[in-house]
Formats: sequence, C-alpha cells, structure tokens
Amino acid sequence: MSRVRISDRWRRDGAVMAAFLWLICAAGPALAQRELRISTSPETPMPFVTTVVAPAARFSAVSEVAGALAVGHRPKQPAHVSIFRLDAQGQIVPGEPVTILLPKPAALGARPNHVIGMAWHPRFPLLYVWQDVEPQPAEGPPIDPATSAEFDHLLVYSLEEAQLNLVLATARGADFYCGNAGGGFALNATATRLYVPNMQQPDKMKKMVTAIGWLWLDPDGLPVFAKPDEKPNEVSLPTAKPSSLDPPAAATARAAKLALWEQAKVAGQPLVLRKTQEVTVQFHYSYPSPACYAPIDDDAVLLTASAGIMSWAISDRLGRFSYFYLLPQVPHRYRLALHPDLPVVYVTTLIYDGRIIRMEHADGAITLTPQTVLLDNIVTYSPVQVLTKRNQLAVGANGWVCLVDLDERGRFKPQGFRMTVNNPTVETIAWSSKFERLYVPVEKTP
Amino acid sequence: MISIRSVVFQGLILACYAAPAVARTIVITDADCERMAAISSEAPRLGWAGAAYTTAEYGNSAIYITQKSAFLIVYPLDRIPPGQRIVKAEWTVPYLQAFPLATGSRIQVRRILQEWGPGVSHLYRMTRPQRLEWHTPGAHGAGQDRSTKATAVVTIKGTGEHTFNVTEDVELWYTGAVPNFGWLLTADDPDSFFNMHSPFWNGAKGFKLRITYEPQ
Repeated sequence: MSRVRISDRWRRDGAVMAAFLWLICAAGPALAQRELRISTSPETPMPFVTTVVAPAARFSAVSEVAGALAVGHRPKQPAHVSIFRLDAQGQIVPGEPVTILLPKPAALGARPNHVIGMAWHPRFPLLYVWQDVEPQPAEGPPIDPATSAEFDHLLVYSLEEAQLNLVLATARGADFYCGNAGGGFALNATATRLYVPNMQQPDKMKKMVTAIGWLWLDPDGLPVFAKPDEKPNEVSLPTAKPSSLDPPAAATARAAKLALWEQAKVAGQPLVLRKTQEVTVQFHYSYPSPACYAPIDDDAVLLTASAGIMSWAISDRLGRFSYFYLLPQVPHRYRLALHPDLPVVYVTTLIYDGRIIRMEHADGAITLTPQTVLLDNIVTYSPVQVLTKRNQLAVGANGWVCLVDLDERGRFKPQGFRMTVNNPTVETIAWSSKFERLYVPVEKTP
Repeated sequence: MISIRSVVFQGLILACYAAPAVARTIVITDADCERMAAISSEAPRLGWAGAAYTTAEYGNSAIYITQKSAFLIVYPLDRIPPGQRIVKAEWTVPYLQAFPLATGSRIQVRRILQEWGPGVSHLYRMTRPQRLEWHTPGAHGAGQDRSTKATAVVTIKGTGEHTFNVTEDVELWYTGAVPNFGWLLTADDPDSFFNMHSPFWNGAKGFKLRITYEPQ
C-alpha cells in the first residue's frame, strides 16, 4: 500500500516537473510571426463537397449560368474534356458526362494534344478551352512549325443547346509557341480579356521570344479580329466595353459574326486576332509563359514567374513589372489564386509540401510581406479556391481536400480540416459561390 | 516528512524564481517582420522596387540602396517582456557590394515617424484603409516622415554584414516614448550604391535585430 502511494507521489511530482520544464522550453525562441504550422483535423465527408468521378483530372471550371462542370483531363486520356450537367441545387445530374476530344490537324500525326486551361464566360454558356501538344524532349528539336501551323489553341464551345457545339477554333500559327505542358489561362471579371499562355513575338534580332498578354473579347463573348488597317497587338488599345448584351442578343450576334467569318475564310481573307502582349525579361525564352494569370482589374494582373509571383501594372510606364521571389525556390511550381473580395492572393507550391502563402496587393502591386501556413503531412497539388461565404480556403492535396479557416482579412487562422477523397493527387477543385459547393474530381467512387 | 526528492524539486523552483536578475538577449529577424518595403523614385508606385532588372522591371531578389531608393522595415518588439531595460540593441544587415568600391557607400538609418502599411511606395505611405501620401515622396520629409537626427550614418565597404547600434531607438519604442514605425535605410550621397541581400532570397533571416535587456 505504502509503495503504491510513493509511486503516485513520484508520478505527481514528475508531472509537475515536466510541466515546469515545458514552460521553460516554451519561453524560448518562438516561430517566426509570419509562419503558421497546423495539423489538419480529419472530417469526412464534408456536406458541401461534391466528388465527381473524372479520372486524371487536371482542370475544372464550374458555370452557374450553363449549369455545368467542365473537367479537363491529363494528357493521353480517352477524352480531353468531360462536361457534367448540374441540377438547380448544383448537384451532379446522374448519368455519363458529355466528353470532348479536342481537334488537331492531321499534320501533327500521333503527337497527343491536351488541355492547358479552361474558363467559362460569366454571363453566357460559353466554354473557352486552350490546348497544346506534347512538348518535344528536352534534347530534341522544336516542333516543325509546318506541322503545327493549322493547330488551333483556342476552342470556344457553346452549351446553349442541348448538345455541346464547337463554335470557333482559332489562335494558330507563329504567334503562339507550340509544345507546352502548361500555361496560364484566365478570363477577366468583365469578360473583355482572355489571358492566354505561351505567346511569342520576334525580338530585334528576329529571334522568337516569349510574351504575356491577352486576346480581346467582344460583348458577345467571341474574340475580336483586327480590322484590316489595324495593328493587331498594340499595347495601348482602348479597353473593350464589358458585355451589355443579354444572352439571346449575344447568341444572335455570334451567329451573324460566325457566318461573316466563314465567308471571309472561304474568300481567303486572313483573320488576325486582336491581342495585347508584352515581353518581359523574366519570361525571355522561358515556358510556360506564364504558368498562371490572376487578373485584378483592367490595369493590373498578377502572374506566376519561375521564381515567384509578379505584378503587371499596365498603366505604369515606370514600374510596369514587379517580381516577388519566394522561398523555398521551386521553379515553375507556383500557382496563384485571388481572393474574390479582398486584395489578397494565395500561392501554392505544387507537389512540394503543404505550404500556402498569402500576400496582399495594392493597386495591383505586391505589398508588404507574405504570411505562410504549412499544413502538416500535406502535399498540395492544386491552386487554392476561396470559399467566400464560408471564410475558408480549399486546396487539393495528396488524397485529401484540405480547408483552412480565414479571418476577415483573409489571413490564416490556426485551424484546418482534411477530407479523404479517392484521388491520390487532387490537381483541381472548383467552387461555386451560388451553390456553395466545392467540386472535387476523383478517380472512382469509394 | 521531508524527502530529499522534494527538497531538490522545491530548490529548483526557488532557484528559478529567486535567481539574481540576469540580462537576456533575443534575436528578431526579418522573418518576424510583417512590414517591409523597398521603395524607389524610379518606380514610384511599387512597394517592392528593390532591384532594378531592366527598364520598368523591378523585384525583391536584392535591395539596392541609393539616394533614390530606401528600405523600410518594422521589427515587432512584443517578445520583450514588460518591466525591462534595453541594455543594447544592434541591427545587422547582409550585403553583397558597396559602391564606390574605393570609398564605400555612405548609408544612413533613420526612424520613420509616420504610420505606413499596405500599398506603401515612394508616393504613398499607405493606400489602405485610405490613400495617404508621405509628407515628401520617398519619406524624405525630415521631422515629418523620418527623424531629423539619423540613428546612424556610416560608410560601408566590401562585402558581408554591417551592424548598426540602434539601442536608443529600441529603448524609445519599447518604453512607448515614440511609436514604432521602424527604420528607413537609405543612401546619403548620389554616388552611393549599396547592394543588400534580399530577405526573400539569399539574405533570408539575415536582417537581425539583437536586443539585450534586463529587469529594471
């Protein structure tokens, strides 16, 4: 009996001693104030998450207007794009998705083509898809321009009718580098600019260098073709007017325009896309150019650079581009996403660790310093999605979808969750603020 | 009954609480700082015009300090417990080159006198929550934007690190005699070109504020 009591007292005193020593240790050097490390709590399932069986998914985009979720697949899959219909609550309509095989010219032979980016028009049921072909091996020669001359990078699909229709295929030729594994593709909020990847132009020595920029869109949602007397890629072109057409009027305008273009094509008149593009030191000869676009407004866009992120202030002749290098250095792996309501951008480093970086921008320029959250035992595979009404951020990871709570300034709170999904590499997720639903492509049903 | 075990345990606690007051040193690095900027009159809207790569292209891979540019930083001092006296404070910055090579860069450190924050640039000390200009662009307003008296004015040569004595400033901030809006590091004369490493590149955690304090 006595021996038991002594043992209890030792245990009690030992616990006090341990707590005391812990206090001494805890008073030592603290973590840097900008860094937060959290362990996510398991929470499966999450009621607002809809998993979609779409194997090898790399891109996804949801349209509340079209009532559809588009999923772009990795290269060498049976389909390039799958379209899932949504019901009025945003749930996936049962049944097989509509699948799309993207067109390519016969001259490219067996070289596979693949999706690089997708975006829905915010007001019309139009899906923009950017495609490319498999890159040459590093030591191989570039793709023969003759074989890719008729390869259209931009495809515009319409879901206005029951069937999906390809309404336009364009963006071909030497203005776009052919043979890229990736690249940024984004539509601005007013749907006047379609930011596209891997543009190129000759330098003073007539050597092609990479460029960044956008194609102009008309109010009907179709690209603008330059008038015969117009320089197609003037930087200081007037800003296009945002769409004021209602969907039926836009559809009528598109039909008329497409008929005219068809006539012009038959008559052998060249159609040249109106675009704005610029060359920067950062992207000289470097692809993808860029890996990611995040348009803020008509004057400012954020992009990923190989070593971090950069701002492009279009009206600023003096400080046009500003690069913010990020550590750790993982070239070409950074992906960014804007907070829809706050001047905040989030950056993930793909297939590296569970790090998410938050930065603020002001007038389009990156400002102050990053805040970082590191999710323990997580490897991120996707850009983030901000779940606006939930004040949370979601990211695709190694077999999970992870959520991190945000405060009113979009800063990370020390609380995160993870939901197990049947996908070892969740490369894409899509959020609908209307349906308050997060769509997560998975390999198969559980 | 008093056991040897409890005597040792209580003695340890007493030793910790009743020990004579000793000075303690902490090091705060750039990784702890939320407010930092590199401003330049040559890119007056940018908050990170640290290194000039080519015309209109800037970045944070290095911090060039010239008469036209400056580095701004605020170190949080909340790790110093209350009731202390600042014995010594030293601020170390890492750098690659100081031009002119023969005579070195003439560099000055000054306290910033006005609040600054999101959107800080050569033109503005912040653009959120409201757009506020510096008294003089570049925080050049002596006695308005920056302290009239320099904390340090030094000539720096070669390559490596330079340490500034900033004891008086840290004491002023810690005691609350003046608010902590950080320092501005800039060049004194038109020939100086001080090429600092970047807190976001090869100088990460190299911008160190070492503070020694003791109980009052």
